[in-house]
Amino acid sequence: MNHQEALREMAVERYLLGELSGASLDSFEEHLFECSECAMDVKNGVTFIDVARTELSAPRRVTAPRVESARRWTSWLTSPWILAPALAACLVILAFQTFVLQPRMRLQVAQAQAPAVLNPLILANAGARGDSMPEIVALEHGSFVISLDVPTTGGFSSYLCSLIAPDGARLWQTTVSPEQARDALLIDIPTDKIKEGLNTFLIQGLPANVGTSGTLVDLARYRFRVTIHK
Amino acid sequence: MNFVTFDASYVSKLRAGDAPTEQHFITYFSELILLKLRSRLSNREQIEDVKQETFSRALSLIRSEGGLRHAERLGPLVNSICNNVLMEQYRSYNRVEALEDKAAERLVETRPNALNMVISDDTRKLVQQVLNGLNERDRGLLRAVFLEERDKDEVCIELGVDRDYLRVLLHRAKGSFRAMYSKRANTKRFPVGA
Repeated sequence: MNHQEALREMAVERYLLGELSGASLDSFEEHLFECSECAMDVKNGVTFIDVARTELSAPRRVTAPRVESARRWTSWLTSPWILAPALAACLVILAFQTFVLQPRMRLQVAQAQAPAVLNPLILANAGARGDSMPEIVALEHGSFVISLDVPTTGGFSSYLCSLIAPDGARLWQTTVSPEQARDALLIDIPTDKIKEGLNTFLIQGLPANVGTSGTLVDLARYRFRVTIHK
Repeated sequence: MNFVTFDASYVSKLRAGDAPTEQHFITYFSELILLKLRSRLSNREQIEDVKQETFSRALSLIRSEGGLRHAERLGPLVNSICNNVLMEQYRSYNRVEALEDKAAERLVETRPNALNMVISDDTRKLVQQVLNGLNERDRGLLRAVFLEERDKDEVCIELGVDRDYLRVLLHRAKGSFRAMYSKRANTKRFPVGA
């Protein structure tokens, strides 16, 4: 057997598989001893088979692919059971904004920009003559005007005007100068900034001689009831 | 891949008793003799006996006057001598064996040496790689043939392939292993950055 015949007949593989016998075996082995290329091929084949026997007898180690786990991590987000409700929720929010919130906001802006006659709730001397509690009914998302007097008994450098909610929380506060206090104060109150029920305007004076660190003096409390119509 | 050429120079060195050449000669043909004998003799000691006797006679013949006329026939000469020793071994083991004389027993080293263990570990990883590159059917085919040693025709029919498929599979697997082994051997010889 020469080298070309050995290649053509896959003699190395047949030899390794034990398929050669008799004259063909003798012929190939004689070629093996004189052809270093076939000899190397057979030696590699024997080594491979010997080691493969051991490896094939062991359980195959399979590593979980990372791509698979990454896909599993995000796959729930694209599940129809998640996407469909999420899309529906988005549509509901969009519809609410378009058909409810935005028209309301436009109405509020229009109302604020349109001329209107003020009907202030006058708290100037309310309660002084035993009148009933002043009350105002205001529209939700609207506003109303309060008119009140600041008692200017003198000796105060400035006055503090505070709006107190029914629960005692201070909703709003402003400083009034003596000049402003000469006339009635007109205060525009957005309905969103006030609480329904009995509210109080507290007027306090800051004594003139002690500067800003002095103790405030309560001068007047104007109580009034607010009802908000939706 | 460097293939060995047994030329006149090589034979001349062998005749002269050049130690490296003699060592190469023994290493190279030991593997082939072992391959030849392992399918013919099951006893490790018998294999070792035949191997040593083959080398003894081959070197004696090479060093004798007119013992080897053509250097390129060195390989077939060793094969022929091995065949003769094997036949003699068959005839001698048919006779009654001597029970004593343990001193005459040749001690056969069965443990792999340190170099072989290192190579085996590398080799094992390369073979693992080759096997992992095969599909389940091909792995099953190799397992059935080489591990379970089942009848090859039966296995091929079971897996729906023929004997040619098995030979080609072995050819490709062996080729992949050989390519990776050579590449690794070159990398170790010429490491990157060296």
